[in-house]
Amino acid sequence: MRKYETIFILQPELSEDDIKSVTAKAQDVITAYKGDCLRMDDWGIRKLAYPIKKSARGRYYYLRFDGESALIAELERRLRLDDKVLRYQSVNITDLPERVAPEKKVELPDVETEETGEETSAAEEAAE
Amino acid sequence: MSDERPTTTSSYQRPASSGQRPAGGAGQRPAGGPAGQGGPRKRRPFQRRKVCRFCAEKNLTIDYKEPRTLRFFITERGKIVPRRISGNCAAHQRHITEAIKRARNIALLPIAANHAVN
Repeated sequence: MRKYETIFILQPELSEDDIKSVTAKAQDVITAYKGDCLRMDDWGIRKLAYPIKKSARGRYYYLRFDGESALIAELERRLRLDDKVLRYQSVNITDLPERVAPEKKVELPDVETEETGEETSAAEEAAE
Repeated sequence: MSDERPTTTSSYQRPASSGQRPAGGAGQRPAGGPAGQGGPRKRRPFQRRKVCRFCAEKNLTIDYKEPRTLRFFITERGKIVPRRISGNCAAHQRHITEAIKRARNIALLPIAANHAVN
């Protein structure tokens, strides 16, 4: 068994049912391939650092699970086919120290500060 | 964070200008060179040797999911700050670059600073 973490970004304006269908599908894959889903976190809607598929915001989901390589192949195939998923990334963290993913409550005010930081940097560049 | 950013940029610009000096060649030297012509190149003022902050402080972690810490190692343009400026050791710089690239992939960090199109 390997340890994996996957972050996928959903379109921001999805309904609850659409979000549930994606997350349920991901969990179905994990159970079908005899993996263990350890965490499933919603980081909420965040501003993207750059637009993806013309969307400036996205709903981040963090998935932490154990499984074999066939699992990750199937999971990524499903995410790739799904139009509601803007972007996904899986990382094998078997050899890495475990780090708790940032919680939604901590991250949300942080997004605001990042936005202002980008604006100031953009203003500085304009001044140059 | 915004307080620290100008210091990184100022330290970044200085080596960049010194890097351009040889490219400028003989044309630039009489104009701005306090060192006379033919003299030895003016030595850079002594800088305090930077210590890798991840080696110095063990409880600092490098994680692609934390753009706040990674932002310290990218320029305003979004480029990765080189090792000679950030002062990281080789191993930690490798971890930093990998983390930044992962964070870029999932849009936690910008790939490049976006220009306002006028």
